[in-house]
Amino acid sequence: MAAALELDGLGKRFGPKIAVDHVSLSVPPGSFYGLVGPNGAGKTTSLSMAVGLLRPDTGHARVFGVDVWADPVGARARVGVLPDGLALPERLTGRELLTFLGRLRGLDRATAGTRAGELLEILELDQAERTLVIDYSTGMRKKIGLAAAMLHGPRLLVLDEPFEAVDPVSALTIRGMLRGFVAGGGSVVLSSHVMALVEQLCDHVAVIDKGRVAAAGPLDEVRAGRSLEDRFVELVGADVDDVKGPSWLAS
Amino acid sequence: MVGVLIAMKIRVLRHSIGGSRAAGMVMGGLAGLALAVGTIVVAGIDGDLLAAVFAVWLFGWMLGPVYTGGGDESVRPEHFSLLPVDPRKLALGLLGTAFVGVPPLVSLVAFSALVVYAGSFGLAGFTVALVTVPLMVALVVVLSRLMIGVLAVAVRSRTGAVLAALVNASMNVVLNQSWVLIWAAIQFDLLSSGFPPSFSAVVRRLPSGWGVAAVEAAGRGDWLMVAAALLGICALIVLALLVWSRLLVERTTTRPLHRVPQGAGGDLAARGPVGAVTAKELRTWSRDLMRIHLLWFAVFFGLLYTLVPLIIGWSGMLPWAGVLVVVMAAATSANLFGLDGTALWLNLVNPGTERAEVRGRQLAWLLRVAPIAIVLTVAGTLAGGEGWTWPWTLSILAAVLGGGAGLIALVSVTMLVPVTEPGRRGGNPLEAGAVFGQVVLMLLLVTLTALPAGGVAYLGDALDLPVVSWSAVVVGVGTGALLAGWFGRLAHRRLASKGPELLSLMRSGGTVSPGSRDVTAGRPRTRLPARKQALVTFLWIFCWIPLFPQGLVPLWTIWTGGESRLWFLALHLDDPWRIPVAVAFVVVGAVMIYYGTVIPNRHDRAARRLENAG
Repeated sequence: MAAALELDGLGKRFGPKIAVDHVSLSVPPGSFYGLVGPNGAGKTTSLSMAVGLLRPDTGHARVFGVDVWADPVGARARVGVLPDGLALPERLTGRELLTFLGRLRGLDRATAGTRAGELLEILELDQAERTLVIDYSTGMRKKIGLAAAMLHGPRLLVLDEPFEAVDPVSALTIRGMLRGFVAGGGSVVLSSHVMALVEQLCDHVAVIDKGRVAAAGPLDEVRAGRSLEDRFVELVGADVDDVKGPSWLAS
Repeated sequence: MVGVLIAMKIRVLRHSIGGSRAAGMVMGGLAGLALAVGTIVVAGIDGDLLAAVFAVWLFGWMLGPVYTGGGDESVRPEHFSLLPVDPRKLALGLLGTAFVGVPPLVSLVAFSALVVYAGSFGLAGFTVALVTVPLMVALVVVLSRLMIGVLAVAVRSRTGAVLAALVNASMNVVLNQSWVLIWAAIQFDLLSSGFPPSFSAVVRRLPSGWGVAAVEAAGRGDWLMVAAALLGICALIVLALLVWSRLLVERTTTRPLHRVPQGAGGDLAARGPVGAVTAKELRTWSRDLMRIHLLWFAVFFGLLYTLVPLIIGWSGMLPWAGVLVVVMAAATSANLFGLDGTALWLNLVNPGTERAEVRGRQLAWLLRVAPIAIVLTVAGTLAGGEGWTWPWTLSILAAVLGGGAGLIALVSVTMLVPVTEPGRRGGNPLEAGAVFGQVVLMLLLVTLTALPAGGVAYLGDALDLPVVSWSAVVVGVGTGALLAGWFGRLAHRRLASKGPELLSLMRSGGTVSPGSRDVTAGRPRTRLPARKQALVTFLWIFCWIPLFPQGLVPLWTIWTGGESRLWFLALHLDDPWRIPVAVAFVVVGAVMIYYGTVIPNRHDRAARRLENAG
């Protein structure tokens, strides 16, 4: 059976800087896959290339065996994506946005309407019926983006920082939804900075540092009997014992 | 697909139309309709002229988006980058949305002039015209989209931004000169004596003239020619669509690269807060693609505008290249704070830095613009001026440099136009916001700051006293320094007192909440009733016709003793009336500006009083 998402030697260079250096990952179907790494390590760039938002310089990405760059239409139909800093038609309400996107995804009017309503209700965005997306808070934007990613019922979700700026209650809801999705046979790839969250949710994890995969595999294998945080710090080679605040700040 | 996208766009439009936008839409639609009716009238006169007018429509469609700041981006390709849709199909769908709105309707009316023209070519010509009209509308719309697409991808690099500025400036200059050309054509009786054959051939060879050619060929029974013209239009539409869909993919799957060029003004940063802001601004001017584009646009505009008359052997405009660059650069820089988006919060959390912020920005603008303008003025005056031109150009250059530096600061904090956040811009400098009104206003105001210096220079010429002429330079430097200082002070005081309001205006972008007539928080002004708003919009759109082309320009021509009359009404009159009529036009223009400003102000104050009382 083909991997839900496969990154095969993806590379990207921005001018003199190598952002992603031959990243290869394989996300098994039905897994909850966490992607962690320091700021600027290349997580977002890798995910963008994997879902067809940024053309890679080298390598391939496949969604259930479908090459993202050779058959973009086929690949995009199989994946739901929450990109980082996403562009949205700002002057629509959440319901309008979801309905239109559903129709564009090929759902009929009734289905699009029902699904939009259901998602809005679950994500507690139905209170903001009269608010335009441009006036949404950061957390609300995340939630509407998440709803847009799930709308067409994909078997794979690729989520860039889905919990960033989301309130605790909504975060619990989203976690519940994602757990249910994986239990039903779906696959989730998410990037996050919160180690505890990745440890709780994910069964697989990859650590990316300086554009490369530092470690990848089942969670227990990667953490090797310690906490993910300790292992992460060791892998990215940070020296945390000696960290001091600025001398003038404490005194 | 197309249906859903169109429904989406209509919904977006409904949410973004507030009172002023609706009024602007109606005004724009009426003005366009008048032009369209004019086109139909032309169709009854002459085929050559009709083909030429169609060419102007085509140019207008390609240039329009540049003028209005990136064209209509209410439904953007980025919104659909995740959908499993073939790019060609998406391009077709987005093209469908481009037909929704007032301009395509107006164009349909304009191009139906072809049907009127076909009246004299029998049933065959009439039938061909009926088929051609929708094709022509489709052609102009798709070429307009393509133009935006090309610019949006091209301007993602520094070189691209400069090239896009060159293209924009050339098209602007061509359009500006075409006004003169059309009126010159009427003046020289081309209508009755007919155009030269080469002109007829050229306007029919442009894609905009293929429809006219097809109708005429049908009248002659030359069906091969008809087929060639119609298939040519179709082929061009398909080709443009294919290229555009390629560009859409390019736009959604690559990222603009922000190179860090050599830092400018490094040692300035060491010289206190003003120096630090100046250094920051100089770097922004050389790194922000939108600013690079705006600055080079001004440079190319001034240069080309004065170079074009060389075609007819007139070098008299060359000395003014530098002044034009300064005036245009001030006009395009007047949204100085808006261009940086919500970065204004940095000043809000650092109270007391407003003065440095404003002064630094003024200084950086001067450092960017002044050297180019001075070089162009000196070179231009050497090449195209005479002895008496020196005091004129130097004094006016000094006056507009200072006046411009003052006005950009003042206007940018009083008339801020919300723009897409720099971080979310995607590298397209055409997303400069709805700045058209601001640009027109700035062109006027900066020109006014040159009046004292120009007046003294005129006095010197009239009295034939070189001392007086040269003292104009002192006056120019004086008013320049005074205005830069005074307006700058007003600007940083306003920035200090109204900072939070400006920030919230930038954040909200002036949206309208669905279902309510209220504008969301952050609008510093109360909204005018629709009728008053329409009046104010009318005043602002049309005030510059009496003021500039019918007022100041004829006055200038009378002073310099120019011969050409063109479409300047005052110049067609006999002597006791020439100057009074031109002055009257200036007064009319000034009164229109006065009321355009005063009506909203009065309404605002009245509304506040009511609020306070209630």
